[in-house]
Amino acid sequence: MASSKVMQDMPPPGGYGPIQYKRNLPARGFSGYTMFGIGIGIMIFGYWRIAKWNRERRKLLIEDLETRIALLPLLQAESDRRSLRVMRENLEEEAVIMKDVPGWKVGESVFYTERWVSPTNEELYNLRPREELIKSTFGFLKYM
Amino acid sequence: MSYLFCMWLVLLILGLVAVASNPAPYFAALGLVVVAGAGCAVLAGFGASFLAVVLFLIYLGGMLVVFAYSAALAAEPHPEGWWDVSVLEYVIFYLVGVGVAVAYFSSEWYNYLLPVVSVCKEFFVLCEDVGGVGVMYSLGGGLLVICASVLLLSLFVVLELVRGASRGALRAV
Amino acid sequence: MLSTIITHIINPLAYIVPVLLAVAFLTLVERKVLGYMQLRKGPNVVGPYGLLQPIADGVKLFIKEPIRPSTSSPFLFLATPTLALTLALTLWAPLPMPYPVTDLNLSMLFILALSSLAVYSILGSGWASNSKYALIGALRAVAQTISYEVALGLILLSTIVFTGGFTLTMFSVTQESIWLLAPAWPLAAMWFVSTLAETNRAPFDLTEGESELVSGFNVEYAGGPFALFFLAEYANILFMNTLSAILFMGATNLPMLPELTTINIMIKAALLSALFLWVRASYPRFRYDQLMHLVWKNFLPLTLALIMWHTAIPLATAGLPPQL
Repeated sequence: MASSKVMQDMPPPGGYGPIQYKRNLPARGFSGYTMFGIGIGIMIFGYWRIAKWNRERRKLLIEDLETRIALLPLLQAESDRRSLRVMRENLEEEAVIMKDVPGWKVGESVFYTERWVSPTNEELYNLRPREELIKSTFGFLKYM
Repeated sequence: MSYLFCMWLVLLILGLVAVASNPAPYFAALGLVVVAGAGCAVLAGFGASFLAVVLFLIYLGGMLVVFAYSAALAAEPHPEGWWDVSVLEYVIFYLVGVGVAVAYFSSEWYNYLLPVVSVCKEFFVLCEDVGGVGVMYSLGGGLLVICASVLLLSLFVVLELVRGASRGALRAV
Repeated sequence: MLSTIITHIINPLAYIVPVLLAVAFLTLVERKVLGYMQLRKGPNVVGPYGLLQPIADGVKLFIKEPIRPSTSSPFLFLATPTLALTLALTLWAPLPMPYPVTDLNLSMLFILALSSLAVYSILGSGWASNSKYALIGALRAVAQTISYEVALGLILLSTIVFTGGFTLTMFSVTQESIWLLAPAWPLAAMWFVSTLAETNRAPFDLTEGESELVSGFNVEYAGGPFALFFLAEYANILFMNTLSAILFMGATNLPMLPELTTINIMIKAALLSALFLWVRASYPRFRYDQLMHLVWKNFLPLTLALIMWHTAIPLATAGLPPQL
C-alpha cells in the first residue's frame, strides 16, 4: 500500500506525560496520628478518673459494712424477738383452731430432727395479714 | 411459693422425660427449653439468682442454636410427637422409673434437699450463690467430677456425630 | 388490694403506655427525618405536620384482617408476635430512669437473658409460617442476632469490670465521676454498631432488606400480628438506645430531683435514636458474609482482648470497684 497523505494522530514522541488521576483531597482536620493520640489520651484520663473514684467507692462500702457489723447484734435481737412473738401467737391460734382434733399436739415439730429449724416467712406470717408477709419478704421497700 | 416450687420441679422432670424419650428433633429441642427454664426457676427458688440467670442466658442461647440446626437439617414431613408408639414406650418407661425413684426416696426425701436459706436475708453479707461456689467444690466435688466427665463424653459424641461419612452421622459430608 | 392493683396493673401501664406512644412517634420521626434527608417532605397530610399519621397507621393495621395461612401452626403463629411485644415491653421494666419499675439485683443479666429470648419469637414465627422464605429469613435473622449478642455480652463484661456489679443502678453511681464513654470509647463504638445489628436496623437490615426482598421472617404476617412485630422492633430500638445512654453516658441521680435524671437519660436516648436514623439514611446495606465477618473476625477478638485489658487495668492501678 502506498503511503497515505493523511498523517495519523500519534502520541508525542516519548509518550504522553503523566495524568493526575489520584483524588486531590485537601488536608482537613487533625492528622491521623493526632486523632489517635487524642483518643488514647481520653482513654487514659478516663481510666485515671474511674480508678480514683472506685478507690473512694471501696472506702465508702467499707464504712457501710462496718456500720452494719456494729448494728448486727441489735438487728439479730430484734429479728429473734419478732419471730418468737409471731411464733407464740401462731401456737396460741393453733391451739384454738385444732382444739376439736383428738391427739393433736400443739407445736409439734414437723421435721425428723432435733435441730432448730428456722421458720420460713410463709410459716411465720401465714395467719397474719398478707401485707406483713410481703413486708418481711421484701424488706421496707415502699413501693411493694 | 412452695406450690410454685413443686410445679417447677415437676416440670423439670417432665421436660427431662420429654427430651429423653427421643421424639423428633423439634420437640426434643422444645423439651430442652422447658428443662432449662424450669431448672433455672428451681435454682432461683433456692436463692441462687445469679446462677439461675446466667444459666438461663447460656442454656436458652444454646438451645436456640440446637433448635435452629435441627429445624434446618431435619425437616421431616411427619415429625414424631410424644404420642407415637415408638416414643410413648420410652415416655412410659421413664415415667415408671421416676415413680420407682419417688417410692424409694419418699420416706426420707428431706435429707436430700438443699436447705432453703433465704429467710435470714438481713444477716448475709454474700448472696447464696457466692457461698454456693465454695460448697460446689467441697461437698459437691464428686458430682462435679461426674459432670465434667459427662461433658467430655458428650464432646466425643458430638465429634462422632458431625464427623460424617460413617457410623450414624447426621449427614454425609 | 389497692397496693396490689398499683403494683401489678398501674405501675406496668405507667411505663408501657409512654413507651408505646414513643414508639408511635418514633416511626413518624423516622419517616420525617428520612424524608427531609432525601429532600422530600415525608408524611404531612394526616393532622398538623402529619402528627396523626402513626395513629392512622396503627388503626389501619389493627382493623385489617390478620391472614392465617392454612398450613401454618396456628398457635405458634399467633403466639410469637405476642411473645415479641411482651418481651420488648418487659425489657423496659428493670431500666433505671432513675428508679426502675422492678428493682432487680442482676438487672443487666436479666436484660441479656430476656433479649436472648426475643430470638425465639423470630425463629418461632419463621418456623410456624410453614413457608420456606419465612424459615430461611428467620434462620438468617437468628444467626445475625445471636452472633451480635455474643459481642454485646462481651462488651458488657468489660463495663461490668469497671462497675463492680450487674445492677444497672450501679452504672449511674460509677459514672458520677466520668462517663464510661471516656475510658471505654472503643467499646462504646462497637456497642453502638452491635445494637444496630441486634435490632436489625440499616445497614444490617438483611433480614428485611426492604429494597431487595419482600420481607424476612414475617412475610406471612399481616394486620394485627404484623403490627405487634413492628411495635416490638421499634420498642427494642428505643430500649437499646436508652440502655446505651445508661451504660456509657450515665446520668447522676440527685435523690432530691430524680426528674432531672429522667430528662437527662431520655435526651441522650433520643439523640442516639436520631443517630440510628442518620445511619439508616446514610449507609448502604452490608453483604451477609461481611456482616458475619465483622462480628466474628473483628468484634469478637477485639472485645476478648479488651476484656483482658480491662480486667488488668483496674487490678494494676488498684482501681477495682467495691464488690459485694
